[in-house]
Amino acid sequence: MLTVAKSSRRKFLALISLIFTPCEALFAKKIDTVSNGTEIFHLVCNHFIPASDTGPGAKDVELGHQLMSIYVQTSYGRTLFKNIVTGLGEQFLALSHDEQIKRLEEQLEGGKLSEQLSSLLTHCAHAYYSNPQSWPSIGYRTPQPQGYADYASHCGDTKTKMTNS
Amino acid sequence: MPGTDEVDVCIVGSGASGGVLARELALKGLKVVVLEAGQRLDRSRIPTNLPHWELRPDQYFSSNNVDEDAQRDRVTYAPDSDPSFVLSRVKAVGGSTMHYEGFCARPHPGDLKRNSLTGLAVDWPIPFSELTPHFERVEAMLGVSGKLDNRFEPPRGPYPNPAIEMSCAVKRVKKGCDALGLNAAHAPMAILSRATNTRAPCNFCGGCWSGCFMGAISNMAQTYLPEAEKSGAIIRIGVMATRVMLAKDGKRVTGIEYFDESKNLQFQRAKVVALCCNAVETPRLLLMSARYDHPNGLANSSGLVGKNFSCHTVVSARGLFEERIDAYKGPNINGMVQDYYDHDDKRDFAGGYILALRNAEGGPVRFYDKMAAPKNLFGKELVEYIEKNFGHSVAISAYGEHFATERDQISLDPAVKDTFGLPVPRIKINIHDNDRTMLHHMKQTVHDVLSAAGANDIHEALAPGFLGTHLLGTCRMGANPNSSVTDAYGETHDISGLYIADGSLFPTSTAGNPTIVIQALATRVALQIIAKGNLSVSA
Repeated sequence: MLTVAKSSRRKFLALISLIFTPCEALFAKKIDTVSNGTEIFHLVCNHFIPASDTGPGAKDVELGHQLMSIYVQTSYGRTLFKNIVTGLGEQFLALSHDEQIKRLEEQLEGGKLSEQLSSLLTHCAHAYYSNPQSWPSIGYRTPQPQGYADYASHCGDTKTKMTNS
Repeated sequence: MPGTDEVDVCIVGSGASGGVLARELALKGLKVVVLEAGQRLDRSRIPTNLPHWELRPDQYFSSNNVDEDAQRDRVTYAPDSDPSFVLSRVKAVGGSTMHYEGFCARPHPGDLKRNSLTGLAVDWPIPFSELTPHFERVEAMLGVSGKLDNRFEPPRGPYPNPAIEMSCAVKRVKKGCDALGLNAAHAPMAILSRATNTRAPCNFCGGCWSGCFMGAISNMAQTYLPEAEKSGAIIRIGVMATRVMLAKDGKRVTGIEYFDESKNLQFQRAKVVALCCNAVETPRLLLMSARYDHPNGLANSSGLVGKNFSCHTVVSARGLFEERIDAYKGPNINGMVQDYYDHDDKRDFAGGYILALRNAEGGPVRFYDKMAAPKNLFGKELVEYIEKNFGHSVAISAYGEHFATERDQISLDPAVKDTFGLPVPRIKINIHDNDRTMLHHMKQTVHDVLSAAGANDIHEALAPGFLGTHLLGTCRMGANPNSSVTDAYGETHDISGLYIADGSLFPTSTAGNPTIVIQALATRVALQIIAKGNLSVSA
């Protein structure tokens, strides 16, 4: 009942939150008409959110699968997928790791795929950082039901990470 | 059939003012019906205990059909309205108190004397001292938490509850205020700091914006409305008021016409009608109620219904600290500075503003959006940035007085209709020279405070503009019927028995958050309705 307009992007993100069940088979049947499209898509997601010393990467939390299962459900998502994988092309897979990163950088900084890759990056970041598997590495847990009894005392300890309990 | 029996008072809207009126009048034994366009919110929809809560932060306030909600609650904006004003309100039982943060600082006497002090705008028709007992009554009912450590606050008694302790983040920002000689005080909050017999206190989850999981925020659904219903007030939900109805002579109110939940027109007869629908919907209803003897809308002989639409201006800055401060924990507002609140002739702007020290950073998704995304980070850099900096950021805000003119107004859109076929409100509001000068000062102050506190990477979190939640001033009260819509007690000059009790009454916006003022005014209006008699008041 908030009267603030709901943008299509916002609705899309809400959809992300509601559907986190991988269904790649369904996806592959309906969207993956581009040769190796799925592989390219997964690779890009993992380049966007790689594993760190303390946290899992996109691959570890099956981020690509999750996003694909959502993309399949809207024409916006299907078009986004198609544009990204065809835009990067199968030759993307043949590039070295560093060359792939450079290519993504170039595209994000004003290339033809800038808008589409920016959208995918946002979706990756939202899906990843709303996933509890990513939280221990940044010392976070969901606000409720416990709340934060330590809100006024747990401060000033630069390197301390909270547990996810 | 609903609506056939006459009641003493029909209240339109169940928010900050409607809730107060309903309780105060029902406690006196009056027959009260409240018409509410929204539904009762379902607390099981508050998302903050769910893993992906940040992706659906508003779900508590929305039905399952956001498109239908948007169409029903549609507004339009004049082409020359300031684009920073985006209306934000909740249509539900409890109104917009259901998503308010509970900031509850009383105004100062000078807020009611703007014309005398600055030569701009108008004075309020009420002496400050007359509001004091109403503030006390409202604060007791809400269980306001606070501390007498604000040196600018007018003399007052103790708060009903002890203050909520400042969070790590607010304590850190307070150091900056201290360094600049500013008085960072505990923010008075309509949030319980200790349990009552029926309600739990705040557990500092920081999710105020998504609905209070604990029920610690003293919104209307937690406070006034249960007591109103217990005392016999009836709340009809999902109904849309369409017209205020008058007697044949056009001088006396007889009730409200409304669409019921099945979109059938009904009529609620009432001796008194009180409009509590906020400063957008109240003038809309008066304008929609035009008839042959009131061609420009009801209560509009002054031509001022819908005029002088006001809210507050806002600017916000965010910075990063070396150490972890976890500004996602604690109530959204936890400290305040009123050094620039009262008007000062030595400054280059009239009026004043308040600085809110906040804990509203949200979780990692919000951190990504606010801090990482603008830097265009991805890959290793992105992951490292968030691992290093999440929990280190904080934003503070300043809310400024807005000096409205008659050109700032709510009117009826001539072309666009809502799902009931009613003309939607058309909003026009702009920032004027004085507001602009004040915003510049506000912007400098939030930056200076963060800088003095030792923050790095300080940047604008909210560009100077309007806050679309504080809706004020479209049916201003006053002594003169030629320059005001209601008298000093909220009864319209033109129509006997027709009262307004919401933020529309404000002659000026004041420099602070308006909810407690709205509630105090509504208390005063309730007492006036009772005092005027002709109603079945219990002893």
